[in-house]
Amino acid sequence: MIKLSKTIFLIFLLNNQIQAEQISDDTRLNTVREAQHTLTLNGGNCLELEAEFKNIRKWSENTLKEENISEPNCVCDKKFKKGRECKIDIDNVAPNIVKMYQDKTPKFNGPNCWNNTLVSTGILPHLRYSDPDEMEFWMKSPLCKEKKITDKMEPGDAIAIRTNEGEYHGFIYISDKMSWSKNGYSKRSKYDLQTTENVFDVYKVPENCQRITTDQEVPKECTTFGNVYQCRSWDDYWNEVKETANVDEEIDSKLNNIDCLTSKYVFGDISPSPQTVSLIEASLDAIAFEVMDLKNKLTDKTPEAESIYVQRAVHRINSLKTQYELTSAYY
Amino acid sequence: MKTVFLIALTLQIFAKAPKVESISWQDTTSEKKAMFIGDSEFLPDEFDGISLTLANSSFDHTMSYAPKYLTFDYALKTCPDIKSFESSLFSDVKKISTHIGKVKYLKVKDTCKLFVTIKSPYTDFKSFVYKLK
Repeated sequence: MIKLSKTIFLIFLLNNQIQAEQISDDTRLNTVREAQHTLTLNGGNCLELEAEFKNIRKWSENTLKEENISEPNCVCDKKFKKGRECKIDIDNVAPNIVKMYQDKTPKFNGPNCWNNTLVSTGILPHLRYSDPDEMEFWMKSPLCKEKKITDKMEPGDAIAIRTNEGEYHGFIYISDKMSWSKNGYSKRSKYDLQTTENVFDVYKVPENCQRITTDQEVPKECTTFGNVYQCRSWDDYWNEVKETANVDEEIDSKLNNIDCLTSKYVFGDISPSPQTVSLIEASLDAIAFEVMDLKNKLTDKTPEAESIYVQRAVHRINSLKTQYELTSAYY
Repeated sequence: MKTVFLIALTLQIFAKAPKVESISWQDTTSEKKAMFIGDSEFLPDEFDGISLTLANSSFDHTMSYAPKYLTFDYALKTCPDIKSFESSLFSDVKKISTHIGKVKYLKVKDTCKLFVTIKSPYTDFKSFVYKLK
């Protein structure tokens, strides 16, 4: 009996040792929400974590003009089974969208990768479902510029994963090691800082297809491939060009309100009655009626800013309508 | 020692006892479990109690685009002795009958399949009851 106990104990020890080796060999970065509002990045060494801290800070500064003066403060612990574990607080440098939505899942299906990419670049104001047409429109718009192969990738760049049929996935590049993505429109898919490798793996993009430009011929083996864009925010663009556009700015602010309510609804922050939802949809129809009229009046001579403004509204309305279709079963 | 062994054995037995839980259409694509049709509200009586496994689905948890419809194809362990049929699926939430999709049964020689098409907003609804294998 004693012999058997010893053998079991030895097997137990051996098993623990194998597990410890497996975990310490795993250098993948992961995020942990330590308290309600504290987001930390965990990993095997401080050098790697500090590099990612600076990349996240650069994304905030570059794209979102969020000023951050925080310096990295990495600490390491030696833990049984896990080897050396280091962590760094990214709460003061991460963009608000990361701080608020990391690990979060919506209450309803809809909020997806394209919308996350557009909100994370400051093009759209709120999280919800985005049609592939909305993603394609913005990537081709004057707000986004496609990067050449020779251009350096920067934190905050948008990557559009495409197939021959069009848009397939979109996410935010932070570094070769880390990206910000929501993989899918499902309510079970969370907003997540994850490895760039994982995003390309999930969407089956071979390594040599991860950075292709739209003017080059797509290699045969690239059934899915990535196009890289640098985008500026809507506010940044609009403040610069609005004088050239003869538009009713009320349309955008009305859609902002509907977008905001919709986002709160799909994330479960508000629970509107069926009558309220019907009222929101009716308001959307009324704006759509006005916007379609403006769209029909667009010509080649329409100033670019005016055309972008109207098309922005068209895409927002279409995506919002799909979002409401997806939640329609619940009331 | 004997007591410990007995407790362990009891726990094992409980762990293997079949549990019945409801599951949504979307969840069927990630749950590797045998399926039973247990909701005669959605499916014709002929299929009640026949074990099903998901053979193919147009839904993937990582898909970005929300299609209008999703399809779920099921393989049946035994084939009911009818050649084919097609029927509409209705949901009766809050006593309001809503058309949510259709089901089609097809038997070719000894094999048979059930093709289920569900409108996208309703794919999150729990419509099957499953049992652990």
